[in-house]
Parts: sequence; structure tokens; C-alpha cells
Amino acid sequence: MSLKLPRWSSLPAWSGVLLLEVLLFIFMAISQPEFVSAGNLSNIVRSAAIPIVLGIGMTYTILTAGIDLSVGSVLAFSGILLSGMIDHMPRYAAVVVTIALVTLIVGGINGTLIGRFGLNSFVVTLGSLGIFRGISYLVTNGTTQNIDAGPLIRALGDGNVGPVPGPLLVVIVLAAISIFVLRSTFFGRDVYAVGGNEFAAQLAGIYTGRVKMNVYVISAACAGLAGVMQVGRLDSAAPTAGAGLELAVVAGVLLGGTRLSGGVGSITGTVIGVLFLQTVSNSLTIQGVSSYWQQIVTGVLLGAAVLFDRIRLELSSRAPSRKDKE
Amino acid sequence: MKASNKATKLSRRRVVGVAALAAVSLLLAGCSSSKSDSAAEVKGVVGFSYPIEANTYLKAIGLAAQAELKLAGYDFYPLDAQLDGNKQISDVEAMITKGVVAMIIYPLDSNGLKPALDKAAAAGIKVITMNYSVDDSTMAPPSPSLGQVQDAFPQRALAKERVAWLAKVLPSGGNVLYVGLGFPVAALEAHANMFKEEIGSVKNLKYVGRVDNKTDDSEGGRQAVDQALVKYKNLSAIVAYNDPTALGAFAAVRAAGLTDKIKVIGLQMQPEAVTSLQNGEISGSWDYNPVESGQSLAKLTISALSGEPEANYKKTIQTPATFYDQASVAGFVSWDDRLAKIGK
Repeated sequence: MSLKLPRWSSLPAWSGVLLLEVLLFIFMAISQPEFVSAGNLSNIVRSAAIPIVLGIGMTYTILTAGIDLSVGSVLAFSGILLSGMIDHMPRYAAVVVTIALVTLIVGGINGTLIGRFGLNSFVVTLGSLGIFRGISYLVTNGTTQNIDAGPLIRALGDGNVGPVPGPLLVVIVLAAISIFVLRSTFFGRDVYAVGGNEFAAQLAGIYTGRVKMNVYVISAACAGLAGVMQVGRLDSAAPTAGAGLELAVVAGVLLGGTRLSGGVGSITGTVIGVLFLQTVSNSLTIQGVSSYWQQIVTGVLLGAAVLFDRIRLELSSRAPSRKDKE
Repeated sequence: MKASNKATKLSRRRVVGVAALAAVSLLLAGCSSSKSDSAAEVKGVVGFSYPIEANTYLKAIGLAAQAELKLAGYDFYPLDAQLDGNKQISDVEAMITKGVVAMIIYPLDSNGLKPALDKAAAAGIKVITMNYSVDDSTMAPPSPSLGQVQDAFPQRALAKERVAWLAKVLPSGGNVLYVGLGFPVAALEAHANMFKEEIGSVKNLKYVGRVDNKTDDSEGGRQAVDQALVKYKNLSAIVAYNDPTALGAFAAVRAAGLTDKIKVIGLQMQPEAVTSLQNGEISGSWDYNPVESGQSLAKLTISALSGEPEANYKKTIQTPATFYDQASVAGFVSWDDRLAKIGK
């Protein structure tokens, strides 16, 4: 007796969210035509860009069965660092030095403690969340720093490069690099292997500690870049920036089909998952739905997306698919 | 056996590493913690509960109260609720355990905190509050709060003033959008409603709607206004519930190329708003005078502790808000300067 499975069981994990995103677009285009205006589409892309950049870094860590809860705080720390350097060197140098320092300091601490000492990523990055938020408050005395970001930083966070929104360009480049790294390099395969079965990966000769260390360095670099983009978006650096953003980012990554248990997931899914959350928020505001209702609707849509993925998983467990990898 | 030794060595190194890290953190925290400045006789300890200490405005209230209390011979014991109602209840209990003689509380949720404050009052601790009740009355606040300070009150007067200013700068009228906070805070909701009512009384001004800042920061203001500009065409003014939101709103207006058409106004006169006003970005803001509020809180507390007549402290003191725009911002005295002048 042969079991005939629906064909969508072999679809990638993010297909449910993509379907909801398309349905939402169609509904909004009909009910609120201004939703599909160039201005609004640009708004969605610009506001989603920073969470997507954070989400790309987060995907690496979750793929190794870890998590980086410090990304929101590191975003703020990066902005504050940039605000301190911007008047002492050319803008491009300040950007490079900021991202390098954040990568070195935050990635170094998180990566060493998790990769080298084998500490729990949840606890370590929760600690970093507090440390870097605290440093940001301490350095600024809790006040937002007004900055003249200049054209380069503004282009990264808010401006245009030719006709293309700068933040969109950043996302495309970063996502393309990450897809290549995860799909076509030894390091990418090691990331999946460590998350899939760390013990087996060790037996296969993979330096699991080094892989883990590197993913937290990558996540810190992404958070550093996101901090620079945030400064470009608001012309200011606030110690409160990104507070609570880590949870929205994790939600987007998981919605995109990356499994919290590691080993399964994709950058494409992350981009779609985060974009979906941003589209929901945007469309509800344009519909004039109160922010209290927005929380309920967002929760229901999240549930629907996860339910769809669950059904897909149930079916694909009977006919395993390899499409969840980059 | 070798592997086991190696594992033990590694785990020892981990423990030593983590312990060293923890020790350094504690040492740093110890070095930075404040110490009593003088050996002079202390009359008692007064607790202070911040809703969140990492807020420039709230911090200024606390620092002003601390300075006044120090002059009167009281030690200051600040605790930070970090926007967590449960933590604030624990903080009140911690103050009772510490044996404070009085506590100044800025409640996150007056009703939720009442049982803990009742316990404090029953233990003989004087309870003074900030915005415990948010009506416009100057009567004493509800028990167990003996006295309270309300900032930017009377709210009705502030709402009228904001609308009057809009009517003045928009003589031919226009559409006004309100940006509120995405979660309920009684004082902010009261102000939003009064503002909406007051704007209805001006013929040319039209209240077109409200959007919410869901994250209580500039980015939240930016996103709310980005989306609102798609929905609401021909806006003339955006009125925000605080300055960080106004700064985010201004960033959205600038990105849309509408700075010459839309005026953005804020509230609280936080330090970043001062720079923005000077640069001609946001058009106006109202200083909530936190230093004056902090001093009033301390004076009520000292009065209650000194056994003065009840009329001196069983009351509500309302701190008015002061308006600033680009023309008047030069006359603004920073909160830091005002703090430095206490006792001089």
C-alpha cells in the first residue's frame, strides 16, 4: 500500500509564512490601496532592514542550537560607540572601527565563553544583554546622543543608493553572502552539523567550539552593523535602542523555519519571517487597528504560521525533504 | 582515565574563569556604588522607587529628591523597578525590611501596588507618591499615600496650552495626528483624551487620528509616523506624547521630505529635545520640570517626618509644564544646572 502525500509537504519551512505574506498583501492591496504605494513598500523594507540584519546573525547562532539574546543591547552599544568616534575621524573610518570593535569585544566575549568554555548560550548572552545595555546607559547617562550622521551612515540606515533604498541594499548583500557561506563553504556545513548533532560533528573531526565561537562573532558583527544603520535612520544614538528587539528577531527567525533545536533553517526563511512580522505591523496600522488589537492579531497570525509549519513537518516526517537547508 | 583528567582540568578552568569574571564584576560594582558622603548624624533612610531609573527625566526627579533629603539629614535608598510591577512590589517590601522611615514611590500601577503600600503604612512608614492619582484635583491622594506630586498638571491646562499653540502657529488650520504610547499609562491616556477633546473646540484644527509608539523609543515613533504618513495625507502637525517619540516622528517627516509642511511637537523637554529644538527640527516641547517635582516630593516627605501639621503634607502639589520653542530655548536652564543649584 503506498501513501500519497500532498506535494506541499516537501515545501521549504518558510512556505507557510510566505503564503500568509502573499495573502496579506492581496488583502491589503484590495482594502487599502495606499498599502502598495511605493512609499509604503519602502517603509516596510526600511523598518524591516535592521531586524533582518540582526536576524541573519541570529540564524547562525540558532543553527548551532544556541541563541544570542544580546543583539538588541549590542545594537545600542554600537550606536553609542559610533557617536563617540564620529567627531574624531572620517565617517567611513568610524563605521569600520565601530563594527570591528563591537565584533571584537562582544563576539570575543560571547564566543569565548560559549565556544571555548562551553557555557550555556542563553545565560551568557543574557549576561551580555545586561552588560552592554548597562554600559550604554553608563556612558551616556541615559541620554540620547544627537548625531549628524552624514550621507554615508544615513544611506546605510535610511537613504537611497541610486533608486534603491540603502537598507535594502545592505540586506541583499548580507543575505547573499550568508546564503553563500551556509550553502557552499565548509564552515556553513559545519554550522549545520554542530546544530544537528554536536557529538557526531566532534567525531567527524569538526572543531565544534571554534564553529560556535565564530557564529557569535558573526552575530556580534551583524548587531554592530545594525547599530550603525539605526544611527543613520534616526540621526541619533539612544541607549534604549533595540530594547526587547531580540525577541522579535528570534520570532522572525523561528517563523522562517529555523529550528530552535539547531541544524535546520535558512537565511531566506529568516528574511521572509522578519519581513512578515513587519508587514503585519504596517498593515494593521494602516487599517487603523488599535495597538492593543494589533498584539492579538499578530499573535494569532504567528500561531497560524507555526501551525502550518507543524502540519508540514508532520507530513514531511513521513517523506523527509532536504529543502530546509540553504 | 586521561580523558577524564582532561575533562576535570577543563571544568576546573571553566569554574575558575567564571569565578574570576564574577569577582571582577562584583569588585567593579562595589567600586562604583555610592557611599555616604559624610559621617554626620543621619536622621533616617528614605526609600525611592523609580519606575525605571534609566530614564533621564525620572532620574532627574530622583536626584533632586536625593539632594533635598540630604540637606535635611536623610540618607537616600533608590531602587529601580525596571518597568516591572512585580519588582516594584518587591522593592517596597525591601524598603520595609531595610527599615526606611519614609518612601517615595512613582507607581507603575497604583492599584496593584496598594497592598504593599498599605503594609508599609501599617509599619509606620510615611508614604509619599508621584502621580498616584491622575485626576486634576489638588486634594490629598487616596490612602495610603499621604501626599503626592503630579507632573505637568493640571492636565487640562496643558492640553489647552498645546492646542492654543497649534492654533497660533497654524492660523489657517490643518490636520493634526496624535502619537500615543502603545500600552496603557493612566496619566498619558488622560492627557491624550483631553488633547483630543480640546482640539475639537478649535474650528480650523482637525484631529485626524492616533497612532501608537509600540516600543516607547525613537524607533517606535519613527515606525508609527512612517506608516501614518501613508494613511493620513495633508498633515500639518504631529503631536507626540514625549520627546523621543517626537524625534522619531521628525526623522520620518524628514525622510518623507515634509519638514516644511508638518510641525512636530514633543513633551518633557528631555536633553535630546533641547538640541533638536536648537537645530529647528522639532517645533516645540513642554518642560515637565522634574527637578522641581523631585524637590516637592522631598519637601512633602520631610514635612511628614518632622511632625508638621497634616495640611502641610496631606495634599497634591502640581508641577506645571513650561513651553519652549526655537525662539525661547536659549532661556532653558538644563536639568543638570538646576540640580547643581539645590542648596546653593
